Amino acid sequence: MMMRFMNGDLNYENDCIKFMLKTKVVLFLILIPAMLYGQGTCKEKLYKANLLYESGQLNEAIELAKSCTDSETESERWQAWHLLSKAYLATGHKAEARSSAEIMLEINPTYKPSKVKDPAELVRLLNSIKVIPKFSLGLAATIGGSWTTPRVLKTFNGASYHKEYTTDQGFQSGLIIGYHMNEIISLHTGLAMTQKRYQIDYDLEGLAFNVKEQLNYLNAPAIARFSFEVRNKWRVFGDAGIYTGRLLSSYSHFERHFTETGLKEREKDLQSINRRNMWEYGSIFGAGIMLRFRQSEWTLDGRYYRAAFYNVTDTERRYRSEDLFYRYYYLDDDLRLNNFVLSLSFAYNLNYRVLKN
Amino acid sequence: MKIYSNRCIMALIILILFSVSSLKAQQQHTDCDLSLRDAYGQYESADFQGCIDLLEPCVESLERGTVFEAYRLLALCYQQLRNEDKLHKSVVGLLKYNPAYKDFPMFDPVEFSRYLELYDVWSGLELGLKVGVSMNTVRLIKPYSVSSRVKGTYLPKAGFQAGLSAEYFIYRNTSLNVEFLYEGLNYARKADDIFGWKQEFNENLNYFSTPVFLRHTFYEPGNWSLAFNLGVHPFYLNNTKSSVLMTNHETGGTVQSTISQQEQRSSVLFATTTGLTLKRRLGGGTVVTNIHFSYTFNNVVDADKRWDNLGFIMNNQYVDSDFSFMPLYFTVGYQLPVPGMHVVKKR
Repeated sequence: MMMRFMNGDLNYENDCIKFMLKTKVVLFLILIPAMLYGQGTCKEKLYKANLLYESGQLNEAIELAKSCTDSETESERWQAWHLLSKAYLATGHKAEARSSAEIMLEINPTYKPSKVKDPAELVRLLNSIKVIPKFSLGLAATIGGSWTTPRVLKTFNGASYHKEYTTDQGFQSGLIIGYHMNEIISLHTGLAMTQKRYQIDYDLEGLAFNVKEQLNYLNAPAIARFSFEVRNKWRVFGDAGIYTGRLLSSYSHFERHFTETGLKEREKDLQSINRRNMWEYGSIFGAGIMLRFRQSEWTLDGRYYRAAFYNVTDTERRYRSEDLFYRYYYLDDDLRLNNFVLSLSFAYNLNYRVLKN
Repeated sequence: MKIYSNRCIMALIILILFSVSSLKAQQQHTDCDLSLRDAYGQYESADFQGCIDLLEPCVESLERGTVFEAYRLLALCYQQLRNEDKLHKSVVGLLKYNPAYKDFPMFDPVEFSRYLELYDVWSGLELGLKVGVSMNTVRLIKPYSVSSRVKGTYLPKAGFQAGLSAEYFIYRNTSLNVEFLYEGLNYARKADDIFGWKQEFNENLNYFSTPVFLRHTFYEPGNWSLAFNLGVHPFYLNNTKSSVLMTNHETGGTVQSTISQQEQRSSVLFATTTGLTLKRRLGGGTVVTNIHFSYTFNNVVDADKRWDNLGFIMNNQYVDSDFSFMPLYFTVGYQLPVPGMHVVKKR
């Protein structure tokens, strides 16, 4: 055959061309399915699959899209599951459609369906799937303030008088990190700067003394939160947990007032950290309301920090401050500091998880 | 009665005009939504010019979440019509309204997907918050003391830094950063023997600071990036608190006194700052961790007023030396891109 071709046998040449053309056509017809289903990048396959879906060839579209569900590229995997969820809905396979939509939302949890290109049934399906935040990062600041109530464990006085403790107002602000285990329970921790303030008043033989204490702690709470939806995007919650804190700085302001003459003497900003224990511990209880807005959460909550298992005063250094003792007849009591904080916080959701049935 | 009727009629006219204009706006909005749907039909039936004619007048009045779809459709049409200039403009519109489009695209023809690969998108401006700790070291310029017997040692102390950050991207990998911070720089000076007493002098200085620096990213694997920073770091003194604690060697008893030495301090410090930044894209923003070092040039102490608080100096046997600060910072922050400020550039 080759020899006849090479010798320029024209008739044979024409026969050959016809044979080759016929073979090409046959081959082409055989290969179309292969071209459609087996070859090309995922981008090409997904585009073709979408065309098949739009022309009503749903099973073919499903087969082609399935081949890209384990693509190395996240966007291709997302497109594949997106198309599968639409195609399964159109073929009436609701369970497969839901699981495809769940995977699609796991990849892109903040997907907003297209009003034009996504069918209404898909939009309803996507809205019915619960997507909750997984990790959130936020800031909290007190509004109103932080109120400290000293709890005296044992009194120590430099003379015969009675100390009157008064609650004073400080502040709290910090960073919060949250992890949502499910729709109801989340765990929160972070770091917060807490300023605790209180006052002590006592009188002695024509002298009135006022002591203002300010302690600045770096607190690390560990809280479990239980939240429930009450209305669209609004939730109420309760908190319970523990905290620890390290004292960063501590200041005392002393004032003595001679009641007869009206003379006042003040000493401000005396460092009192050397009279204190550095660590505090306790439990936390609280409640509040939360608003979920787009990718963030706004929270207003009240929290009570109940101190336990520690003494603010370093008992070994109680008697070392000679100037305080001789000038103000003052000794530190054994005490703990309870705290109530009203705070407003903002948390941004870093990622999401899909709650599967 | 007539006046009341006239006022009534005016109010009614205004109400009608308002209703008509809002109806018109709503109708235009609804008309434009329908235009997008019709435009898809035109595109699918290969009437690309018809698709463009429907969309062009409407594209900016669509609902914000849909504008990118209109730009996408326009880009597809212009690509078919081989109009490079309009194609480029439409792609820029698409990526500006949906910067994450390349990550989660619609089902685009391969030719269009390949064309999109030519474009880079990055945020033009990011705003964020940062907090951190500092370890402040004192650089002694010239020592001063009340007597030659008094020998003190400066000790570094921890402080804090918190505030706002703004990062403006000049190029994809180079940005200009401005921060507005409140920070506490602390130090201590200890002298072991002052006439039988141990002396500990502590000072807490609180500054506002506005560092301005350039950041250049030189390594970017995946969602991480490593950058180098260089700039200036001015400090503006807000307040200062000093205390001296004297401890008797024999009895262990303590005597303390405090003073504000704000008058004896320079109100402004100038420093250079340099450091490294590690970033990670997380959620819709970026976690930014920094380690940086600032070197102040000028004296923390106002030398002209060194001896102004003579009473404190003699009572505590303490006088300020000339010194400056060298704080080392460790900070962490989170930045979010400002919507609408994304940069789209064709490679």
